[in-house]
Amino acid sequence: MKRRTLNPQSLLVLATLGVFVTAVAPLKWSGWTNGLRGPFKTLIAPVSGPINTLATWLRPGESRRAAVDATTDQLTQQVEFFRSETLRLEQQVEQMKQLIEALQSGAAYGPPLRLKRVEATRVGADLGAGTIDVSRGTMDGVAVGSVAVPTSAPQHLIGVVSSVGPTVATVQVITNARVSPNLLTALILPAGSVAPDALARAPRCQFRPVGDGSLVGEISAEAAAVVQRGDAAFLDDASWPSGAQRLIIGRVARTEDSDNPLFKRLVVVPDLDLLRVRSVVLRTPTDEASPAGGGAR
Amino acid sequence: MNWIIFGVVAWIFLGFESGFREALQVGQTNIAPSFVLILLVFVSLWAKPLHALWAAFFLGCSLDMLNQVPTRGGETVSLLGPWALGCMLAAYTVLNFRVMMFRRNPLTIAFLCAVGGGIASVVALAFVSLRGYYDDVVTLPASSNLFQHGASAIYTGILALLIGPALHWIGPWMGFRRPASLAGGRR
Repeated sequence: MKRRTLNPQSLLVLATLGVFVTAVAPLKWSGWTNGLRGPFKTLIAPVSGPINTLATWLRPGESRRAAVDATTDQLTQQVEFFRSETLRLEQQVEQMKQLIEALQSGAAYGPPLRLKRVEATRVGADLGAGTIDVSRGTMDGVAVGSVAVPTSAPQHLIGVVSSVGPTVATVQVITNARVSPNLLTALILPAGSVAPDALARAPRCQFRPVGDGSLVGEISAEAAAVVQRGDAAFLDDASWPSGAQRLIIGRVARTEDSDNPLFKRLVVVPDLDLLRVRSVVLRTPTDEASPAGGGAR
Repeated sequence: MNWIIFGVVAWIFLGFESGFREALQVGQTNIAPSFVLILLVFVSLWAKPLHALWAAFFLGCSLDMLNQVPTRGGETVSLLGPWALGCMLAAYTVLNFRVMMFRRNPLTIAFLCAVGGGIASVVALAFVSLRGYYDDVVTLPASSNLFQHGASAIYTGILALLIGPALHWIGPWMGFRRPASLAGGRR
């Protein structure tokens, strides 16, 4: 009896039908294909990593701010970092007060979440999706929702990890028009201001990425009067992960008239080219007592 | 066709696609060339039709793994299929065009990269846009996407002018016969 075997043509037709099915099937049935990405990125990482380093060297995108001199820049970075940390600690104090009140009224006590920090280098980018790939994954404790900040300027927010493989994680940058959550509420503070009364008076604005590298939001004309070019926008939005709170999302580049005369449009631009940072620190909330790797706070 | 050499070359090109593309990006737009599409067109120009389609299938699946789509839940997902089908259609188009072309001419690969890149992009975009109607993926308006993909295809063609000669040089290692030894001389 003649035995029937698949020839390459038939196999190609079957393979084509297979990818057609996965191309049109809804995510709940075709979501398993997402699991192939991690091993695939691991496979090409030995090539894409060095090439990415070369690309970053050829086209650096670290800072968009006018450089004065190295020492001044370094000191400015440090001031901004401690300012961001102060604002974050202020927020934590408020949260602690609320926790104490909750405990006094009989709420169950749970261990506080800590932030595990892991440094990772960028190994690739997807311009269409507005994402960067970094060289850490689930094996290092990175999870979906981890927050990415640049190693060189840890007071800035790059984005949030949107998918993670064993050794590679994908970070969706905040300037991408399809980022989720799509709205970022931020406090706008002038340079040097961290006092509690300044925080209380600071205008708040809800920004949305427009896809050209900037974030745009509308604010009342009255509040816009106190906003100046160069003021920093600090994320203050409960819909974003805790590790992203009070990080800088950008600086006010300009104020424009909007369709409604009672409102002004604020355009905020990040200090860095987010798709071209060389390395990042991934902040992952963890309830471990003494988290390993990267040093926890 | 030597599949081992092809695999090594594809591995390197995928590394460039993932790591070098944004260095060639035009401003803050998504317009950037594709290294993998250049390899795809080159293989489709020289390989046997069945081999070319299989190569297109593998390269397309790899592009699917590289290109992610954001979802409404805040995650990004890889969809297996849109680029695979797009690349196979692009390879099929090149297979039909190649009998009318001077394959060694650098402009041939440039022109076919622009055409093939455009076809692959349109197919991939169509599948992703289609899923936007019934699935959780977030898609941008087709008009802006089409412009960026079209411009990227032309940019790929320009880059192919530089990379094409290098590929022609390694072509014999990939198992493609030298044009002089083919029937029909330099075609």
